[in-house]
Amino acid sequence: MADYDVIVIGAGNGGISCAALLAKQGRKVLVLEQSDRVGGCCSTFVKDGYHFDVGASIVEVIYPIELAFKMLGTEFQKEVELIPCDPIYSYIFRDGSRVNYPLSLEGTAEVIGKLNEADGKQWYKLADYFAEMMKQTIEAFFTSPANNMVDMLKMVAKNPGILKFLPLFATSYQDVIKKYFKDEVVQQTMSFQSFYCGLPPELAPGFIALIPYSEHEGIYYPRGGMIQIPEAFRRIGESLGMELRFNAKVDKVLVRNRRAEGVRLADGTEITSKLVVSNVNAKKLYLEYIGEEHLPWINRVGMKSYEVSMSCMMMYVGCDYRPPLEAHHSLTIGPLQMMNDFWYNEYKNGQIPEDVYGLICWPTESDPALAPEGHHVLNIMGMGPYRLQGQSWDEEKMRVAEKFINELSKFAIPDLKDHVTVLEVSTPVDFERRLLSPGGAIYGLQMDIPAQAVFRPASRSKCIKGLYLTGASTHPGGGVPSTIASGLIASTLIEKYEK
Amino acid sequence: MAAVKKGEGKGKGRIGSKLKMVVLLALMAAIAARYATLDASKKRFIKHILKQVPYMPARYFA
Repeated sequence: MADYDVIVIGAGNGGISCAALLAKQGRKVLVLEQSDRVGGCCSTFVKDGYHFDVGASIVEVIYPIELAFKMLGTEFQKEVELIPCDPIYSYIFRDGSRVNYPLSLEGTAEVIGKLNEADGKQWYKLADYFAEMMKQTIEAFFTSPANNMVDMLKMVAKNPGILKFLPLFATSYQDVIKKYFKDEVVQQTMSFQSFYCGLPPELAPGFIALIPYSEHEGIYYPRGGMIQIPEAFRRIGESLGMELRFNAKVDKVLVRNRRAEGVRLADGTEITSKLVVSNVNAKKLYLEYIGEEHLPWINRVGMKSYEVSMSCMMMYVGCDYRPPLEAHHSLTIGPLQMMNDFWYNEYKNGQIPEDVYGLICWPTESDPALAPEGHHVLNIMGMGPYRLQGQSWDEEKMRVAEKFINELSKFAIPDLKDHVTVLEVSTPVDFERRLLSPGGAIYGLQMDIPAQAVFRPASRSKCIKGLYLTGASTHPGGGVPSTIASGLIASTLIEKYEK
Repeated sequence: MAAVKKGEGKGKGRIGSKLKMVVLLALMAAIAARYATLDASKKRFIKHILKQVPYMPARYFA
């Protein structure tokens, strides 16, 4: 007899939400987490009284999260206090000038209109188009499995309005933005979001252009840090009997006759279960934890063909002054073409970017309790390839971080360099070590069209019975709502197929 | 019932397959001409997708 009904490998958002939902179904669930906290990329750590978010910095498109908590018999906003962020972004140019986009559509139209009158009117057209897309697709895409063509047809049959948005799959993010906006500065302020799917504007699929709109439906910061979201799932799961073990690194998934039967830990302990849910990167799961010998040739070919998503460098800064920023999120950006050039010239060639563009998150603007009184926290995300040509991240990281902070002090956050009290840095290599994410990938696998929906590793394994996948490398992809949606989808598939 | 002369059917078949070939070539020429007019950015987007197409059948089973 198996030790557990279900073993969940990894307490990232996908794993912990799935585990709580399975406990709600009355199953005996064990979660094995290799680190000492829940959340993976959506987590928070404390150093010298400062609370730093590991990666994820806000939450938006909260529908799938609300649904997951509803299925657990509670409400998202009852479990986690969400602080609305407004303005949603402050765009900082190299000359120090700023463009702040407020939450309201009208306010944003006004800001864009000051840059270019015609584009201000165009903003409403973009907003109308993507508002309808969200209405038609969010529920279908985030809560339905996409394991095969039948699932896709069911998704379309349930929501035929989706078909209207098919052209977005045959065009690039950049083309969509350029179709709506003619002003280069406006285009510039809409360009960085393509990296939220891990690709530059000219390679990201057109449907990602939903993001500059979706942010206006509300972006929130959880009081207490990003970890509060996975912590809420943990709390509910444990109240339902879910067991969670920290510092428990899984070494192998036990497979017999193409059926998952449990796991072996790094210390050699074997734990058996009727089902296994994996929250680790699918490529790592199949090629390392399961092993090629258990995979049919077609799965091996498919799995090896995926590229992991982009990686990044995070700088966690504690400072003893109020940084002169104007929003929870600020972006230091360059022209749209610069974003593309960076991808080909620096990222793909293993070069540390010369220019400092990235995302500055200021959580203490929303929640002052995350730092000692009078102090603040900045989590700064810079772009960075996993492999550096002729250099090592371990040797370069502090020098790169200091250079980044010095540059930001010149135009984006005046005087920052003189007020840093704590500086921690996480490079793509550190992300791989700490989160076991191959290549330091922040969105699991590549997020472009040939790796989406039915072409992404299936939520219900097609080659190993009793194995289910959650997390960024399965449908619907990377990001806080998507990974929680993956947990929700896996739990509903288990309820359907594993009575 | 009209009698079919020997070889008549084969001749029609040959014309049909030639016509299909001409249509196919014309279609390919039209696609190539259209592609040639695209700017470099669009070409890179299309190349990025096309180079992954051979893997999509295997990914479907992954």
